[in-house]
Amino acid sequence: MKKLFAITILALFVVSFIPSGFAQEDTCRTADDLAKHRLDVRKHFAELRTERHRLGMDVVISYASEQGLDASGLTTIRDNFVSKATDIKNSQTNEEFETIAVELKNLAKDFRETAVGLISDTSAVRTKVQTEISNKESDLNKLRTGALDSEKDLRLKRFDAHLCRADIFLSKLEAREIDTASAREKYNAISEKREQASEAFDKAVVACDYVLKGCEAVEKKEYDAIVDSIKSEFRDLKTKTGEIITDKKRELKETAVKKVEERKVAIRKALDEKDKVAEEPNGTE
Amino acid sequence: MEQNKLMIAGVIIAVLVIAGLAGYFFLGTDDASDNAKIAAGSNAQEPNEIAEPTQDDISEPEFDDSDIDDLGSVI
Repeated sequence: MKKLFAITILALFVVSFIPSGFAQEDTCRTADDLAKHRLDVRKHFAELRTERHRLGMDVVISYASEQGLDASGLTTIRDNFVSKATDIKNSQTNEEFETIAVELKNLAKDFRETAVGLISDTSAVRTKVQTEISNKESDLNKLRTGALDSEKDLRLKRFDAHLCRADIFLSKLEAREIDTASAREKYNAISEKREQASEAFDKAVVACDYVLKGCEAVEKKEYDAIVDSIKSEFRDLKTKTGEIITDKKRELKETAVKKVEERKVAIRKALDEKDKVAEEPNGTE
Repeated sequence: MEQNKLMIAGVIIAVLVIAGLAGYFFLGTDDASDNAKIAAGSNAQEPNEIAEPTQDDISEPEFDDSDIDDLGSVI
């Protein structure tokens, strides 16, 4: 008896997980999912940029101290910067993230202005900053790869979500026996561009030394061109679907008008026949 | 005695699991509902209606950078 109950309960628990497994397959990723993912990606980039900047700040402070200059002002700004860099990693909303990003930019500017006012030979320090960044290349590269990988993942998820929604919309039309062949052709052409975009993104990452934003490499431009063509194809798909629906509406309207006309003719005919019967001499008794 | 207790506990758990499953299938979940709203777009259609496609039904994806602004040079 005990065994039977234990097996029943276990089976019920297992069965209860089956629907949740299937539920995700038929739905597209939501806007909320994508927004949450984007905040995570933004945090990756913020970490990369702030860590790289912090390394440079440390070099400037060390240089100022070595020169016998009072670096306490620079140290205070650097500490605030590091504290804000931690805050931005823990931000919960895009608004919070953006507020802290502005504060970080202002602190970076304060540090730069203070350093320039304090140190006369800035070119020597710049060289030291570059050397330090090169020395820490491996650590920075891990952050860079992490940020760019998650950016690529986000972009592909956005692509998939829009394609999924388009597919559901076309399926709805097809369920009503509306011919969507031309739109499906466009849809298939877009879905084939996924791999192309993915490969172009990877090439751009290799070609650009740092981040993609502001990168002038040819490979980045080629990637941008594919992105533009995908956007354009989606716009065409939207137009094409609009045309299909407009045509179907016209067809339905014409069919309805035709049916009304046929009904009118039938009624007229029936009335004529009725009049004819009424005009004929009364019965043949 | 102990067996009776076990049986009662087993029945209660089984009822809860069945109620959970029934709720899932018949009422749906918030996630499923949100997904359906997005998938259907703002002009979810009745079976015999044909609505114009809207931005919510078919739209172009955004591929904007998630990167933050450049912080400028350190010095």
